[in-house]
Amino acid sequence: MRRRLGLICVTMLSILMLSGCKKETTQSYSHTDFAMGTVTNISLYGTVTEDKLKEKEENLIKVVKEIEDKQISWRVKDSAISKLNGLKNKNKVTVKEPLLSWLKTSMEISREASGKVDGSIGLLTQTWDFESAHPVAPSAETIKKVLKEGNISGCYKNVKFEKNGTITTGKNVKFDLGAFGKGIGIDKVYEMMKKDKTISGGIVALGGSVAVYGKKEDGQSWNVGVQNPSGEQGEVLGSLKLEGGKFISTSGDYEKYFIDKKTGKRYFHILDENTGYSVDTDVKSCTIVCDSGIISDGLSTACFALGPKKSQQLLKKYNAKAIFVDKKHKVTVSKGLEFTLQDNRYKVIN
Amino acid sequence: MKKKDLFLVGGILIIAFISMLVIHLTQRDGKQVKVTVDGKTVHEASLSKNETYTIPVKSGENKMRIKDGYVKMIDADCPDQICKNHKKISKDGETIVCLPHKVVIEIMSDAKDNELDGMTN
Repeated sequence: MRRRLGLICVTMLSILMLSGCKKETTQSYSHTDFAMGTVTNISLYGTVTEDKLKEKEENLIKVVKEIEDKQISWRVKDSAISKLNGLKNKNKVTVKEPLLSWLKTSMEISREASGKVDGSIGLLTQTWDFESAHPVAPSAETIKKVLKEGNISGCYKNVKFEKNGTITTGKNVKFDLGAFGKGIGIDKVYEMMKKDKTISGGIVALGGSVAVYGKKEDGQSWNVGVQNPSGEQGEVLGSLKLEGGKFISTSGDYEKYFIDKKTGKRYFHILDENTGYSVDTDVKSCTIVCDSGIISDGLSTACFALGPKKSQQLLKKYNAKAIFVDKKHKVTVSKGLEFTLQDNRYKVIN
Repeated sequence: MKKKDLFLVGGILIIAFISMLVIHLTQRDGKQVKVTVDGKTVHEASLSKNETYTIPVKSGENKMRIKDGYVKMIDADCPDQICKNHKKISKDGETIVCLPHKVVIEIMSDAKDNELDGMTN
């Protein structure tokens, strides 16, 4: 009997020692790729094998690329949005789903933001084309002409959604969902992660737009780093602690910019539809946290332009929270956000 | 306990010890640096060995350096220069990306020392 007891004890001890090295049942897979003109990173946690997670990740990226190519990229000639933009007569045009819903939401946000973000100023954004290999500032005459021809100031007012699901716009209106596209992408990925019962948690980043879903393998909250707007790429200003189900987007003046060779002036991609030039503001970056990707993406642009004080109404309307960083290194954080500042050259003010 | 019991205890402990040793030894030593161009792995190196590596991109040039446990893109002729302006990286899961040349430099290891799960920028 004693012998057996000894045997059992030793066996259990050995199993305990060995199990310390055994992998947990939750697997993870992370991959960096390129889509929507930006860097994408998806990490998945789940109860299936790593190979299966890899398959799922590849499928998610494929869907994001499809949204870009088939629906919302104006750079792709036969995308749904290019076809819509190319029409001569834009009176009661039938637009199919999913583009119709995306346009409706984008234009609703544009209206609420009084054009501080505007999905219908494609004529102006395409004139600047910040994503081209060698961007050049358009001449003052060109900008003036575009503002007039495209009815750019308050352009969102030119877009009307009819009850029968058709759209009517002025003839020079061109949609550009650049300020909403990454949000649309993370919404889709989030929805797909949620539907898949074998995925227990995941984080998707399309450029500056991030969605967190479910739980990590250790059951802890997600930590999302906020880019230091004056630092090197990847340098962290601070981190946000978030539960699954949150969507985070950042807009900053450091993202897409160029210095014009002729004038020596610095231009960045967030445009003021009244002047036709980059927004004039003290804000360096604005990060939005809310319950939807398309809203966080759109609001990050609008609130960047509005600044912390004037953004409050818009933030309230969409139940969103924000972090603003200004040129004087002051950081304004909405109440209720768990933000930990990590760079002591900055100061959080309330 | 009898002598045989002691043998049994000793034997099992030795087996357990050897198993642990094997598991530890077969684990990759420290952090690895993986370089991909357009999704294909072109280079793998240890973060603990200093080296300079010219990344075989399709057109243009990207050069990275591993030094004292950090990776940095030291040269790039891409238009946006974002990769060159990226801070040096050392933590698990951190990446340096050159979007125009489709290059990803990634740090991989089994240890999780990066408290961040993602970045918004």
